[in-house]
Amino acid sequence: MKAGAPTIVNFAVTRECNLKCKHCYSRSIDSPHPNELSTAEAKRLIGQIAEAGARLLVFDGGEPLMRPDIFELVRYARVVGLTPVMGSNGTLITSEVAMKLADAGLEAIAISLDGADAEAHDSFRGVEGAWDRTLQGIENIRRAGIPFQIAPTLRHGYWEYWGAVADKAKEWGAKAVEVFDYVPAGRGEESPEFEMEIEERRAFIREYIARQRADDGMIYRCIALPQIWVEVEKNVPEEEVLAKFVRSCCAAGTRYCCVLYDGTVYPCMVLQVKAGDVREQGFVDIWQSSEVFQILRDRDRLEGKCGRCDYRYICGGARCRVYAKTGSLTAEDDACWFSEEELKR
Amino acid sequence: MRKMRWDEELWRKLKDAISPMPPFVRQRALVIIVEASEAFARERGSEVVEEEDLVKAAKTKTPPFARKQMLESLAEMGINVKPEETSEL
Repeated sequence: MKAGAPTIVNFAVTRECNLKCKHCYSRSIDSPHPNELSTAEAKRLIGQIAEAGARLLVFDGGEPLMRPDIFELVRYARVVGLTPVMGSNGTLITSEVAMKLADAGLEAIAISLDGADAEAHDSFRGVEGAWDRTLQGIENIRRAGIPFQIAPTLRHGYWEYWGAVADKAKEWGAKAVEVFDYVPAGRGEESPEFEMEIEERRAFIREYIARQRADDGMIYRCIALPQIWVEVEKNVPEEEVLAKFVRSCCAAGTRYCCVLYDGTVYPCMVLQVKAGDVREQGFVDIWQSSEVFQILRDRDRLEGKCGRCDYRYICGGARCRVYAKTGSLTAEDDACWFSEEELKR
Repeated sequence: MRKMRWDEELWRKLKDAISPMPPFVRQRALVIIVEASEAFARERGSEVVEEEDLVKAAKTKTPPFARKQMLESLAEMGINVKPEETSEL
C-alpha cells in the first residue's frame, strides 16, 4: 500500500521528566538523554514532518516543558504549517508558561490525569503533590484560552474512575477525553499487573459508548483498544456513529508515528519497534519506505483471527499489545473477545 | 442522508474511511460527498451509487481542506482512487 501522509506525528522532545510514572512509555527520568536532538536538528525534523504532509504535531516527552527550547519549537511548527499541540503532565504550567504557550501558537494540549483524587493520581505518577499542580496547570491553560483535553489511563482494578475524571473534564471545559488502555511498553513492562482483563475492557467500552451517546458536547477517544470500534458499529445506530463517534485507533504506521528525543522513529509511542532514525535518514523517506511501516499498512498480512476478521482495516487488533507480548507485528490479538462469527460484517 | 441505493460495501468503506475525522468535519464532508455521488450516478443513468461515482465526487466536490485526507482514507479502505493522482494532491 502506498503511504498517505501522516495525520499525526508525536515528537517526544526530551526524556527528562519531573514525575516518575509507572506506565511511562519513554522510560523518562529526571535528566535529558545525552543524545537528544539539538534545537537545529529538532527544527530540521519538524520541517521534514511538514514536508511529509502531516497536519498535527504532538510535542510530548518526557515532559516537553522540561526542554528549554520548547516554545521555539512550537513556534517553528506553526511557521512550517503544522498544527502544534502538546501532551503534558500539567505540573509545570504556571500562568506565565500558559501564556507563553498561547503566544507561541500552541493549538491544544492534552493533560494526563490518572486518578479521581490526589492519592490515586500521585501514587501512579510517583510524586506527591502532582495532582494539585496538575489541576492548577489545567486552570492556567483554561485561563490562557488554549483548548485542552484530559487523558486518563485505565488499569486493572482501577478503571471505573475514568467516569469521574470525564465529569470533571466537562466541568472544567475540556474539549475531549482521551482514554488510554494500559500497555506494558517502556517502563510499563515492569508492571504487567496493571493490564486490564478482558471483562474490564468490555465493561469500560459499555460505559464509553453510553457516555458518548448521551453527550453531544464532548468527544471521547480511546487509545490502544481498537476493538472499541467493532462494539460501536455493532451497538450504535449508524446516524449516531456518524454524528458522534471518532475512531482513533489503531493508526500506527498508517496515519501516525512517533519520533523519540534521540531521533528513533516508532510506529507508535506504545509500539516500540524501530522504523528508522532521523539522524541517518530523512523523515519523509522513513515514513514512505520503512519495512516496519509497510508491514503495518498491509492489514492483509495479519495472522490468525485478525487476518480473517472483516474489521481488520478499522481495528487490526492492538498491535502494540501484540508486539509487546509476542515480538510480532502481525500475530493475532489474543485479547480480542469476539467470536469468528461476530467478526463477519 | 442517502436518497439513492448504494452498493452496500462501498457505503461501508466510505463510513470506515471517514470514521477518524472529527464529527463536525465529517458531517460536512459526508453530506457533500453523498449528494455529489448520487448526482454522478444519476448522470450516468444508474439507480445505484458505485465506486466510480464516489471517487469522482471525492475528487471534485470534497472541500479543499479535506480532499487529500478523504482520497487517502478511501484508498486505505481499498477504493481505487488512482494513486498517481492522490500522491500529487
